Amino acid sequence: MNYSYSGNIFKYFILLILLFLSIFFSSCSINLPVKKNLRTSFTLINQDSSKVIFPNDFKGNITVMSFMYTNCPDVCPLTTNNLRMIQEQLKKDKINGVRFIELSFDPDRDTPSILKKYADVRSIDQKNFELLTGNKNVIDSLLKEMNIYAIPSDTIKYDNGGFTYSFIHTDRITLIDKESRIRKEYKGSIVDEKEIIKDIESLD
Amino acid sequence: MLVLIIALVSVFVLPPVSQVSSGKKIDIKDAWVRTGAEGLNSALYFKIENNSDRPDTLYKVTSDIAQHIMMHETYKKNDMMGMREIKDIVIKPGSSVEFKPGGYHVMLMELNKDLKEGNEINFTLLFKLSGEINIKAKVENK
Repeated sequence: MNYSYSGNIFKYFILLILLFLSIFFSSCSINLPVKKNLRTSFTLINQDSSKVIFPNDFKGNITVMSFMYTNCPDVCPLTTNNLRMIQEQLKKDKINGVRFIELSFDPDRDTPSILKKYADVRSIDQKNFELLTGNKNVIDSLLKEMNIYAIPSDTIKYDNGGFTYSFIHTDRITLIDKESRIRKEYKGSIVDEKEIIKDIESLD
Repeated sequence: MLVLIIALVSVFVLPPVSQVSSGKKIDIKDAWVRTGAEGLNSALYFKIENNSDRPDTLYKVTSDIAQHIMMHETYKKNDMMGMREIKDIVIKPGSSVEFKPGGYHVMLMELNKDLKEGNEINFTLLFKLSGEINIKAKVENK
């Protein structure tokens, strides 16, 4: 009788431990809230001049997206490099199913061939990494949808009388889940690679 | 007495500490340039150390690698990033100034050729006091 009583106590004790552990581990896992559901489709062109529908073509994949222009010498290449480093680390960690996008907010200058040159010289593995451009109105609408600002400013005058322009722009990397929902946003030029990989794993 | 002799020697015989730390009055360290495609832009970064007892001013950078070369700084406005030209930069005596990503950079516009990782590119930095200083910068993909 006594043995049966103590056996029951032991079972309850084990159940209590399991309950405690499940609560503890569920509180440790990352639960990224849905920030926005991307419902509108945008037709764009990638670096190989192929048509891309965003976000439809990326549904079913986790997508890491950033925003840049190729004439930017400092901040945008940092963001591009951060995406490349994340891509390489995911490959090493054998985490598949993640796609990368860099959207140009300077479509007048960033043609598909320019985007291709920008990617090639940086040895970017373009199997799952697309650089997108397109019609200016479409891009402006998409930037609005993604809450990205890019304003032409700071005209740069050359010694020979010519000039060019730069942008003041949002510094952003956006994490999108398999159902085309924005789950997290980071500073593009200074993102913590480990943080974003952990977040990607939590969505997988 | 010994203390007095040491003090006199240190004041009148030994050069100032800032000159002892380097043989050169202006030292350019850790120069690197970012990968870039022909026709597009890139940036040059380095650290300037002024080991002299006078301020010096960097006012121009030249190279045959790009059609146009200017000094810029990246700035943050609210949550946005932009950049603006800087005409020159003063390096105070015994201090250093760093050109680094997200800050001061030498903007290389309309590159004359691809800058591929591992290449070395020649640049000349022009200072008001120290004159021309030639450097080599390695191309890095970062």
